[in-house]
Amino acid sequence: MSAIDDAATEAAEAPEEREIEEYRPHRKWYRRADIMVPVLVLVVVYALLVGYVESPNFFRTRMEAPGGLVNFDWMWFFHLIPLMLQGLLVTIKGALLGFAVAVVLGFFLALGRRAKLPFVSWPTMAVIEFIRSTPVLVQLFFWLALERAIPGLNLSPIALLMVGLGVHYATYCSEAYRAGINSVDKGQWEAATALNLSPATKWTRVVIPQAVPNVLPALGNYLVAAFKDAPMAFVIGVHGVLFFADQVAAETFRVTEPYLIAGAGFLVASLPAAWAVRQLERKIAYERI
Amino acid sequence: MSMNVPSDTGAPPEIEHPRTKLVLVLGLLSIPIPLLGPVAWWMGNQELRQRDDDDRGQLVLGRTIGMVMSILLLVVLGLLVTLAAVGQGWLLTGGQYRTLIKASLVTIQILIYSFALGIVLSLVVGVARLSDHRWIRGAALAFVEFARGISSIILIFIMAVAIPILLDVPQASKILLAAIALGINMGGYGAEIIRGAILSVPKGQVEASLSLNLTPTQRLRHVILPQAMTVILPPMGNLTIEILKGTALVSLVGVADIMQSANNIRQEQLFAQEGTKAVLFLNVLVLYFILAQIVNVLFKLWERRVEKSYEGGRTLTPDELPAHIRHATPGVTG
Repeated sequence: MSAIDDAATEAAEAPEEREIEEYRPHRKWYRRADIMVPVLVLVVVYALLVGYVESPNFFRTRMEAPGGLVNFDWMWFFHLIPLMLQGLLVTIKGALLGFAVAVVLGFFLALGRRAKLPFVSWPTMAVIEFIRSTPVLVQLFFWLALERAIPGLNLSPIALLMVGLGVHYATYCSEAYRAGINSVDKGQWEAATALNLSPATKWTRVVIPQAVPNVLPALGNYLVAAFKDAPMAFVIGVHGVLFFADQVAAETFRVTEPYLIAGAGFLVASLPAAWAVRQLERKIAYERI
Repeated sequence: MSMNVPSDTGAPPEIEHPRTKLVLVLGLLSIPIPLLGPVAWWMGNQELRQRDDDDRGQLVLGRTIGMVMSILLLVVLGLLVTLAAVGQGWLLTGGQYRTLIKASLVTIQILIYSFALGIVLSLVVGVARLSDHRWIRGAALAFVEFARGISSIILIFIMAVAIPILLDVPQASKILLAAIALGINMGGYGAEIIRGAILSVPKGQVEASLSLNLTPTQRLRHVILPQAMTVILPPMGNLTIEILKGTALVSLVGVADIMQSANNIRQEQLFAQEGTKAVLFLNVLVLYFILAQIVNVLFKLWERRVEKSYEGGRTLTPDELPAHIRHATPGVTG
């Protein structure tokens, strides 16, 4: 009885739903809400993060640290939260800036890797393989030393982090892009050639619109990974979440609370990000790379 | 179709490929003479592109060695030339190299510890993720989310600095604590790999082993894992390289690994007023690259072994058959 009822109501509701969720691919992309809303939210958040987050020079607690005999003090732990958030925002900013470099640079690396000329593609591949299999920490030190060695060049720590993280994750992104470009159907390339499209039109109107949605989840995963690598930039002087923990520990001689709250704050930021990426992955029909 | 045309459905005749050996020899020779690396790489690729029927193991091995050597050659040449142009020295002194290589043993030690812990954790958690009990599944999921969500560097700091004080345990060995942190991190990613691989084994295999009345442990050990191995190994190799990269972080809690001794050398250079030299870290990068490629080659060899074990061997002659089969087989006189 109830099953029949359900079926009846479903049948009654189905046409309405279809009308509501009508998919109109012919609309221009900038008039589609499902594209514009995420883009706008992203742009606003990005602008706020990059524009308004300033790295504090030092993290000073307002509260007296408890005495040395206590292993763990909840009061002090909660007191550290605002300071930790300041540091975390700087870390997020660094990760986003670095990833912005990676997304752009990675595409060109992927193009270089696909180049027909062997003396373009081989060195690109060698560089990608080399950067991929060496630690970011050492690379950050390398960029720092290189920056010091070149006179007249004066980069801020966060710019250095941007370069280091960007170059490292560009190699990862390039692999994702390469898989995405390869997944574009061969017939599409042939059709573009048959229609006599110029290379620029072929890439911007045919290949990239089909390749990039496939790789978005992979890029999202790399963004989360980059965010997880960003705190180590405290070695080059970025005042992020680990710098906060380090400085508070050095000033108050208490190490448990700062590091634990750094870890907790980190989880609070990275778990939703990973979840969002998984939702994206579920939404986009996506071939495993 | 006329009957005179010979049908091409039969197996093609076995052709000896002289270049297979050549590629392998060139690849092996490129270890002492890196200049041969690109040749082996190129030839191996040409051969691999042309053929896909007979065994490619030797070709792949020769090509891979050639590839590694030519990458090394290119990177070292390119970056050293760049740095020389910037006006830096070319190489470190012998003593500094000795320090770095001694410290790389510590790095390898940490890698082995965390790899061992990571493999155990990922097996246990990966199997627990597919458990029938809700609570076990939930706990495994929580572990995976924690291990993948937290940054390995923060985990290392918590493990090596905060935990000993919080739990009042004496700070036994920082190497061990840092390796535990890296192992937890690896366990989280490895558990997902193993879970995916177990799910990729055809369902009929599980049903067959159930009908043979194997215990769950036997089923996992003898039926599922051996078949999942081909799916597990390639991502596991990448994961191991990620962990190798992660070992550089333990220098920040004061373990004397490669990175720490590089920093010591840097301090010496600063003390001697030589300034910070980028070439020092370039050498460290090359050292890490070599270690990563060693891990890579080891996993490739392992993969090859696993793949080989799935290729059937030739038919055994009656003399080679085990005794109880030989006697039971009709028509074979033992």
